[in-house]
Amino acid sequence: MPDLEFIFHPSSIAVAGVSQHNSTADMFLDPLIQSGYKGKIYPIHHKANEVSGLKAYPSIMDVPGPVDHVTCGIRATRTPELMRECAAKRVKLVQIFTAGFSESGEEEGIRLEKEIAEISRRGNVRVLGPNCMGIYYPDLGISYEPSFPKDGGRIGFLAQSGGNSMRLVMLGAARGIRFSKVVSYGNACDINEADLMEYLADDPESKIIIGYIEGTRDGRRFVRALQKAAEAKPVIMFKGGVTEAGTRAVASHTGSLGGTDAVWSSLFRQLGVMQVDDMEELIDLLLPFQHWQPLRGKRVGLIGIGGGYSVLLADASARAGLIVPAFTEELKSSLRDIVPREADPGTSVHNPVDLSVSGWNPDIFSKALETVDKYDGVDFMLLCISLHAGCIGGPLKQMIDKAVDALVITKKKLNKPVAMVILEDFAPETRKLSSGIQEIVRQVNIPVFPSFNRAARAISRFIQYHERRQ
Amino acid sequence: MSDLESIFHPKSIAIVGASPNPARVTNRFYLYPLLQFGYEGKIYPIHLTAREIAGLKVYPSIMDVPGPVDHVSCAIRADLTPQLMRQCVAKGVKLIQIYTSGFSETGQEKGIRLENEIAEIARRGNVRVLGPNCMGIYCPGSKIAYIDYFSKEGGNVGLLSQSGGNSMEVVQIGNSRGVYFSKVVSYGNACDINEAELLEYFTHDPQTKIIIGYIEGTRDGRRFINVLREATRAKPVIMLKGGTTEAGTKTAASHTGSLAGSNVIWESFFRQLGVMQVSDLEELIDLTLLFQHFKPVRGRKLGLVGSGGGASVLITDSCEKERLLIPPFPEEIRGRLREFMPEELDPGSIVHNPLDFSTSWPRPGVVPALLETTAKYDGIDFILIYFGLGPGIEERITKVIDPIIETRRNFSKPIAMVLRYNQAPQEGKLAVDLQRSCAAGGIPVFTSFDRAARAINRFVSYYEQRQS
Repeated sequence: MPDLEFIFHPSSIAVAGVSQHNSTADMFLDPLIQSGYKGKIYPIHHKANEVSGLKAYPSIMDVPGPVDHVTCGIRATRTPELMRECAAKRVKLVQIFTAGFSESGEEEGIRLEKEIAEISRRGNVRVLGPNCMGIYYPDLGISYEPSFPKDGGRIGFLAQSGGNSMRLVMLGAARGIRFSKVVSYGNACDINEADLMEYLADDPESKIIIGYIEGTRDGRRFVRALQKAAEAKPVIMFKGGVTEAGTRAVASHTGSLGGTDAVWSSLFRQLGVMQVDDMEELIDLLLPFQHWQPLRGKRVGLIGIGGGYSVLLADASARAGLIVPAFTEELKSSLRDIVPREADPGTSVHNPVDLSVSGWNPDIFSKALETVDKYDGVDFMLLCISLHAGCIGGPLKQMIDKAVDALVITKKKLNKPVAMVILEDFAPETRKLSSGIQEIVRQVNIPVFPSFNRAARAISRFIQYHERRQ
Repeated sequence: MSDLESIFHPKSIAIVGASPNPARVTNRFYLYPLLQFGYEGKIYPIHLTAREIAGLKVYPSIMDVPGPVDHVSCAIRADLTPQLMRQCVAKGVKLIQIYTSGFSETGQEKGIRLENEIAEIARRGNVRVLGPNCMGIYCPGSKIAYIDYFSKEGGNVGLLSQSGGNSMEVVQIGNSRGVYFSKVVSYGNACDINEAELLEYFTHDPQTKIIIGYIEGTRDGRRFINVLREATRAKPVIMLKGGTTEAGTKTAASHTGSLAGSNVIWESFFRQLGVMQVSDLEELIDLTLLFQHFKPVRGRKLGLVGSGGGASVLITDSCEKERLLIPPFPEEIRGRLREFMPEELDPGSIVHNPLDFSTSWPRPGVVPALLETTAKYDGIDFILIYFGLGPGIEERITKVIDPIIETRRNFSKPIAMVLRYNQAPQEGKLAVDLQRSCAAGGIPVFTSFDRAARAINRFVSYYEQRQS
């Protein structure tokens, strides 16, 4: 079995087909420069001496030292020639962004892709793509998008679609998800989903594996790789093309055979692979895996601030299969000591606890949280707050800031995991406030979700995963 | 049956419990919003000792107000409300809205007794009561609101909500996505004015074209079902039922004191009556958005137009899972589309359905031309655009979204959009502005494929069921 470790550790990268202004290949040059890649970067340009402050060479053959990787966005018809140069230069990996190969369904494209694969095999040059974005490995400063986070994490991601890989990394980044390695592999004429799955299964830097795939050309081998990966780590798969129309779109996207949904779903279930069917759900599910150890059980203590939504919170939790246990009289009276009914008639000390507007008082909020934490009948806590444009600027904003500070301090004293739902009106100011809170509480391992249902579903699946493995 | 029209048109409002301390809830929910909205009637703050609050003359009690008082809003202690009620009777007040909780929803004898007492005084004294345990009325046309930053712009959506907090969520999430309201009533424990009466009102209200509701339960199921039947005959009705699980039901009992009933019963009622039931706040807004913007559509054949190979696959899956149809484009249409987007210029572009304009979007005129060709094709009923606001967001807006909004009115078919963004604050700001400007241009915007497809399916199904 091939060891792909080397593809993540190039000492030099040549970017072929760059221009002095604005072309597809610059898409690959800028991210390397901005992500702080420490190896040598060689822009390849037929006549410029310098591109983006780097010395340029007319061809990779003219580069003085060795070239480990070549990234290219040149026209499909010109790739065989480049491949031959790479073989001569002993390049280890060529990543081909260009589309117009087998996925076009046209004879010329299919022939070109075969030619590339053939040169690769004979010349011992590995190929990523064509029709892909390549590698994002933040620890080494390798990236294909300058706005990707510079800090790495524990999630390994293989993606057949370049666009979906970018969308997922960026969506995830905004919610605190960080990646060990991401590979967008496109048409997979050489390195394919099975190679990458095998690699990630063994990679000590990747603790969780996620995949976006549309299909496979070697089902048997992929299933073996998937099985091995699922035995070692949590694996979450997002299968594109699960419907008939989706499968048609797959064929023109990456030229894969999509297979039927039923086959894929039952395969995933058998192997213990978690299947998701949209990107938001994928990110939601990653959050507990990234932040939490396995939970003891599915009993949740629900606590709402600024409330009125307790009913929906309880419904969402129960619907997703979580248990919302009734609190004992003793626990209720301890909570009542913290928020007397006379002080705030809007409060409720059942489960869900509704702290109403009193919850913004950091003292009340921290004490309530600690009290529920100590109660043996729950396994974790789910907090809910609601933010609106009207929160900003007034006295409420100061209270919110204080409550968040208190949460961070209190969290360190708690024994049980805490998750949070932030409801918001998506006004620009609220967005900023809520992202800020999310960023702060993430540091103390509190994952944040945007709706009751999404929080409850993700946590429930996280619990089910561990239950099945026991 | 009483006519509730008058509760939306008070000529004067007294605020009992207004305070010189600006942070008090009474000021925040009842005084400031009226000032902020520019309510044109008379406002009377009531406080025992203060002379002036927010520049308004203060009276020690409603009895001391010289002229008539139409409405009273109050957040005084529960045990003081019967006395206030009696004053309201004496003063000839038409409606009293009680914010305070601590009544029947506590499940305790004292609270239940108090609520019964209030209801009794109301009935005998001919004063209507909203609440207790509610937020009251938001009616932008009359410049009445209980949150000062609710939109001043009115719309055609009527909302009745048993929960005050959830009514605020719905209005605020709705406003930020371009949903505007005719009237919103948070009615709480409903000791007098209840869900049935409000629903009946909305059924006949000419300003309300779509009725949406958050309810936890009802105390008079038979009457509610009768009015619900009448409402669904007249207008689209969308309901979010709180307390559909055992845990939620227990919570509902302590929240508004309702008997929530079993979920199965509610669901089958809703289905029989043609009420669209949703299961969360987001879905409620998603669906409302379509009804607000679109006339009935003819069928469920979608033209998908957007960018990104992987995105094309996913949106197709989402649509098909919701039984929407994505018919392949005929050769003739594909040829015409290719004229605007030659393969030599953009090898990644695809002229099937979904139509993937890949990297062609920055070329001037391409996106509107593709849209126009798609819209003219007889084989589709509805266009769904999908686009990601990634890096270079400003260029993406000026070259794709703006031209779509500008040319929107040239197309006779409904157009909706899925706008995916990364929720980073800087992008978030632009994305929210965009949702609003798209909504103003008649294009509802969704943020996920699944949610868009689900809402469109339900919207289309609604009209299919009414035809059959």
